Amino acid sequence: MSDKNQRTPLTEAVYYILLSVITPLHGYGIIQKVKEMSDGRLVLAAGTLYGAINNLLAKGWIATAGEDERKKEYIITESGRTVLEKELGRLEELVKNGRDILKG
Amino acid sequence: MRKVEWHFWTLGQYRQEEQWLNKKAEEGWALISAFAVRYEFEPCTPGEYTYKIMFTDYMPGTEGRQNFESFLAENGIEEVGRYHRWAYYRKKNDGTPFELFNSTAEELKHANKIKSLASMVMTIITICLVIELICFLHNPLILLPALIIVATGFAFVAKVHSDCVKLVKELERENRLFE
Repeated sequence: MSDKNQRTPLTEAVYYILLSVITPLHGYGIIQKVKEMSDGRLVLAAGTLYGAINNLLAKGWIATAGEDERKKEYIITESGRTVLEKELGRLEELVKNGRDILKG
Repeated sequence: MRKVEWHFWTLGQYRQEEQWLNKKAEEGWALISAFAVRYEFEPCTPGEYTYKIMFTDYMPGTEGRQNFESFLAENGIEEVGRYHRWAYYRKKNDGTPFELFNSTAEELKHANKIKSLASMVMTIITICLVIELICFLHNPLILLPALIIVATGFAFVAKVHSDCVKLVKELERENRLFE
C-alpha cells in the first residue's frame, strides 16, 4: 500500500463512515449509526455520504456486502481498518497533547 | 390551485435561488417543477419542505443518475425538477436541517464544477465572438444582426461566469477557516 493511499487526517465524515461499517450497513443505516454515535451532532448529508461511499469503494477501504442490489450494504475492508487505526492513533495524540497542556 | 412564476437566476446564484424557494415554501408554496426560468408551485403547509439545488455528476437517464436518485429517495429526498445535470431536490422537514454536503470544502468542490462548466462555455462563446468580429469587419452590413446575437450571448455568459467566480471566492474564504 502506497503512502499516498494512507494519507491522514481523514475527514470527520469519512472517519465516522468507516467506523460505522465495521458491521455491514446500508446508506440510511450509516446515517442513523453516525447520528447515534455522535449524540445527534453529526447528521451525514446525502450528497456527502454518497460521494464518500463511492470514493471509499474506489480506494478499496470498504466493499459491498450482501446480495440485494437495491439496498446495497457496505463493509470495511482490511486496508480500511488499517487507515482507521492509523487515524485513531493520530487523534489520540492530538487529544493527549491537548489534555496535557490545557489540564495538566 | 397551482401557480407559475418566472424568475431568472444564473448558475452561480443557486444559493440565492435556494433561499428564494425556501422562502416560498415557508409562505405555503411548494415547488413542484422547475425548468430554466419557469417555476411551478402548489399550496403546502407552510414550512413543510426544504429545497436544495445540485449540479449532479450524472446526466439524466444514466445509470449513475438513477443510482444516485434511489439513494436520495431512501433518505427521504425527492427530485422535483431537472434539466441536464442540474437538479432540484426537496425533503419534508423532520426537525433536522436538510443539507446535501456536510462541509464547506465539498460545497466548494460543487461550486467549482459549476464554474468549470461556465468557463468552458465562456471560452467557446469568446472564440465565436472573435470569429464573428473578424467576419464582421469584412462584411459589416450583412453580418450586423449575427454580431448583435453573438455579443448578447457573450454578455449573458459573462454574467453567469462572473456569478460563479464570485460564489467560488465566497466559499474559498469560508473554507479557509475550517479543515
